[in-house]
Amino acid sequence: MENKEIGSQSTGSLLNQIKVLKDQVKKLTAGELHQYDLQLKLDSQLKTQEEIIKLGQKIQTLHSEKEIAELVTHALVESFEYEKALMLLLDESSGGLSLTGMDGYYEGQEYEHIESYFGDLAGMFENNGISGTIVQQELPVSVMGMDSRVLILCRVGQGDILGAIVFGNSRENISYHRAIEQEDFTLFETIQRITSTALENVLLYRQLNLEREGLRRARDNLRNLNDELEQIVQERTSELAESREEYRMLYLESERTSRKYRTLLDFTADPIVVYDNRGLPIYVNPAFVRVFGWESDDVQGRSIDFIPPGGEKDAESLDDLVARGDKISNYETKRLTKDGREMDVSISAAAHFDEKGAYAGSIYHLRDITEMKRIEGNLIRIQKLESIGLLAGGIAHDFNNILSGILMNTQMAQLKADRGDDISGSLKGIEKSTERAVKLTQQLLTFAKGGSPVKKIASIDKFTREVIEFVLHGSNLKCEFDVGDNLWAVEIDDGQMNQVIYNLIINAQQTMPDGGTIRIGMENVTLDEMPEGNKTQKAREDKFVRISIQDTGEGIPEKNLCKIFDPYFSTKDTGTGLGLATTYSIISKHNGYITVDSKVGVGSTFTIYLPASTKTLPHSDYKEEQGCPHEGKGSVLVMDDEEIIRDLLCEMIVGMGYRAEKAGHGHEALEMHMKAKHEGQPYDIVIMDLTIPGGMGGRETIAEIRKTDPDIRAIVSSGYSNDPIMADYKKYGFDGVLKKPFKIEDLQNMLNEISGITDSSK
Amino acid sequence: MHFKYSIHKVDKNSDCPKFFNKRIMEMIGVGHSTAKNPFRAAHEAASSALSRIKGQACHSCMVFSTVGYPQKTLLEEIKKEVGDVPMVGCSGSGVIAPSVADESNHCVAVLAMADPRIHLHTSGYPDVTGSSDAGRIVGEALGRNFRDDARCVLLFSCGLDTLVDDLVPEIEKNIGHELPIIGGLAADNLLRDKTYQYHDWEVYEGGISAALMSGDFDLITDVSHGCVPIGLEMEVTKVDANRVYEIDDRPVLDVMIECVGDGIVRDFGKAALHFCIGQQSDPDLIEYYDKYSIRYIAKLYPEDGSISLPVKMKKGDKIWLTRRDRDKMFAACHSSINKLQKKIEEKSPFLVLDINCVGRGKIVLADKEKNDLLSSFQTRLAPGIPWIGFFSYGEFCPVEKRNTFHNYTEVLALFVWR
Repeated sequence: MENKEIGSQSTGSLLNQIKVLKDQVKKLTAGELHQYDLQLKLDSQLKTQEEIIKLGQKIQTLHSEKEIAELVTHALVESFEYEKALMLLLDESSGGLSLTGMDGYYEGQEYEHIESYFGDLAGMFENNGISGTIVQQELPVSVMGMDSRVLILCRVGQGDILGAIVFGNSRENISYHRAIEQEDFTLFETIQRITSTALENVLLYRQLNLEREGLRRARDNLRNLNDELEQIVQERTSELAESREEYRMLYLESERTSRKYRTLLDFTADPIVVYDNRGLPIYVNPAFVRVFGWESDDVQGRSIDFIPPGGEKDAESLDDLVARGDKISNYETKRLTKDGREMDVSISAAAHFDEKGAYAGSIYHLRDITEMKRIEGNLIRIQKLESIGLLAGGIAHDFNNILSGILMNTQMAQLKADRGDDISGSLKGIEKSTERAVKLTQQLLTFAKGGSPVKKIASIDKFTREVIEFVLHGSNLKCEFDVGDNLWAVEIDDGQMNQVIYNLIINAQQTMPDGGTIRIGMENVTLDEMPEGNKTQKAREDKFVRISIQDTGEGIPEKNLCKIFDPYFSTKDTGTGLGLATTYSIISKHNGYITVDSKVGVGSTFTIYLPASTKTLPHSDYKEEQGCPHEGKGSVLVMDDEEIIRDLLCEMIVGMGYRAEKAGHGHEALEMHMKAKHEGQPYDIVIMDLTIPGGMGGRETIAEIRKTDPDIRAIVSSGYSNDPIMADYKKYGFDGVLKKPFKIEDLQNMLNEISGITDSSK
Repeated sequence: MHFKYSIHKVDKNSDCPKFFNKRIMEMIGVGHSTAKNPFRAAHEAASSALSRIKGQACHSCMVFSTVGYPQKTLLEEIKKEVGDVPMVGCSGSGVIAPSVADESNHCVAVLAMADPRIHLHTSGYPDVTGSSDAGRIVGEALGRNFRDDARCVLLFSCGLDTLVDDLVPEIEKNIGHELPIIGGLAADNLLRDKTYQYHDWEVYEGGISAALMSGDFDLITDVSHGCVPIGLEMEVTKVDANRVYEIDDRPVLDVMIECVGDGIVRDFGKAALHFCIGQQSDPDLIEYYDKYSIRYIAKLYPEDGSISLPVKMKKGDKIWLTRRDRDKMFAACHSSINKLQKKIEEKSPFLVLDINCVGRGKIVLADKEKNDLLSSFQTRLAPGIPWIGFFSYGEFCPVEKRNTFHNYTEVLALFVWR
């Protein structure tokens, strides 16, 4: 029993010892496992540290972003054991990210689509703000072959973004690569810091190199200069005194030149402003002070408020052209003086540059051409008279022929009527002659206008053909037209433009006394096709119609080419020297310009550029209205100072079925109107001559009538078809217009229209 | 279990001058790479190996690689460099090359042989789960190509599914000649997911690759150990071939948890490196070998608490849990080097094959310590000589003329010209 107890105690003790031993083994093994973990971690940390040091050392030696990107991505894959890595750097030119380095992409299809993810990355950084490191584990969708990744933003300090590093692992290969762990954040930050610093250093290094290169060049230049100087000193010691004198003379010459230019600037009659590259004046000459009224101190370093309202865009365009390096010559515009007076100026301008060739500002030369403009207006008027004078002979001839036709037909009609024969043939002849007279008169009227153009939209093709046909009528010249397709419409004052075409054709005619061919070309041109030399025009318009008039005459000597548009310059014995000057002026007023190419013995070509209109030609320009016979109803009051016209008009109106009464002037018409109204039989329509010599004309009369009868229908009639009232009759209270002379069909159409029978305008 | 073969003795009186090895050395080259890019790695390793044979035509090749690479791509790229020559090899948990013992997920070593006195005939089979069949097929293939100057069989089999007791006898039997088997079980960086075997540029997953190496050389081998038992002796009480269910009438897992804690469940791959099953060695081998034959645990089945081993066990077998012992390992290594030095005497090997258990790598030694130790061995034993190998899940090396399977050992096979 005792032995059993002893045995039992021994067994118990042994089991206890085994238990203790097992616990010790357990602790020991647990410790070993822990030690293993620590060992691995330590190894990993050591390796990481070593690799960071290596990366840090190597990256410092690199001098380009691409080298850095390649090193960093390579290190992330090869040293830090992530599966894939990309580096995207900000592309200064495009502002986007561009792939600069990559590693871990081995099979073609994996990196074919990398570009498509750039936008996504840029967006992520935008949203992520400033901190610069994003750890993304278990991405829902594989991005660039990564299912978990780190995005690192590289910046200059906390400032400018330089680029981004992206690295990570695919789910498939995660076991073989370093896991993306939040605890590696220090590593990420270190990589971010190292890379950002290296990139920043590259920028600085590049800058430094540029400066160093500049210094080196300067030093080399200096050395070269020194060498040269030394050589010169050695070679010319004997000539030193003379050289010194030469240098002194050169210096004095330089001083003189400076003074000369300064004096030139100071004493030139035309204002000159020198601007800096910000567009602020840094110098104005005394002429500027004198002409515009601002003192030098008023404007220096401040903007000059001398652009008239509405001219700002034009001025900006001008500035832009100059800043781009274009030279502006004689650009005509307006400027304001200090006291608000508007002044016509001709501007010539050019940029000036600093010693490195960089844009340093501009120099504006402004010539006061207000007086010249006034004279030009006069010139046009004078030239117009001259033209009329020149035309007079031919016109008188034509009119005599026309009048002969009318007279002879009238007499023939009387004879036939006495015999009881049919007189319709003679009457037709009278009508035909009259129509010719109408056309001639209209052409003459266009020469009667001057000053600012009253522009109307027109087909330049049709217009030019008509003028040339008229001018060359009966001459020994042939005219060939070469007109481009779908020519754009232009806006012209037909009178003034008539004068232009006339002048050029007459010039051509005079230069080809033995006959020949004038070639007329018309085509559309755009800004790019415009010849250099009139850049200011480009600033305003981008579409032009080019009209060229080419003769095969004797040509213009080169020495005269630059003067032919000057007033009073003429090589012809009988010429006044006003024709081409007027032409130039008219084209300028149309915002167009004119050039000339000429070769002696070959001929001359005058080319006109007219801005294309954005409007479309009215239908009536192509199609004449047809009369529409109709039995009229109602009463018409006719007011005209010419009895014959008044009577005939009434006779025609009655013939159309209306009642008609007549008045010789405005007062009479007003009285008759009041009377009829009082009697309860007011006139339905009034037809009024615009101009009544010595009496109240149509404009005043209708204004009075409208006061009591606002609904009356009124037609204005005048032989002054270019009168502004005729063009804008509604503004003056009229409902329709009849240009004298008119045909019975015209009257019929107008009455129909105004009665509302063929209403096309109301 | 051990298998007998007749070893070819080194002719101690050989008058082969040392410079001869130097010349031959230039006809066998080893290159390696740790580049992550498989294309770059293949190119670096292969071109480095080829550069050492100085433009001579490579006639056969050996490749060891870790599993981080796309294996097929890697081999295709190496093949482009060395040519479509007979090739054998496998994946490891690291590779060994001159001055390098790298256990990263991305490392590859290539051996290029151009010496006409060496001949390699390869064979392989893609599935080793039926280890007997695989062994028979491979053995027959090698047997059909047996040469009188055949010196050894190189064997690389799956480290997860190979049943060595079925595989090796079949190979031996079907070759029909007794030859030493040198090699190891392929590994996968402790992932225990899948291992790869390379046979003539084909990649097998869970298969076997082998080669008959012939030529005018001798093979000198040694194996060193490094494990000690922990706790008390235990008894296998329920077992089916290599699947052990119970020890001391308790599920194996319970016993292991009791001994080493529940770390073994949490991270079996890592824990299994620290703790193996030890069996007492055959008494007649103890003198040349070690007191314990170590068996690593290939697989753990948590559902029934059982484990599988690469060898069979019987009910009633006495076993210990063992752990690796750094001091013993160091001592054994030095002893092994000394023994080998004595065996080769004045000669210098022209090639060293180094199969090292994954449990003896970075798990025991820091990277630098491991590389320094390897360099010191290489310097002492075969300075400047092509040296190649891998970190394995098991090692093949004969002991006392018996082909023997080991765990937790380092096998060094020195190839010496006759």
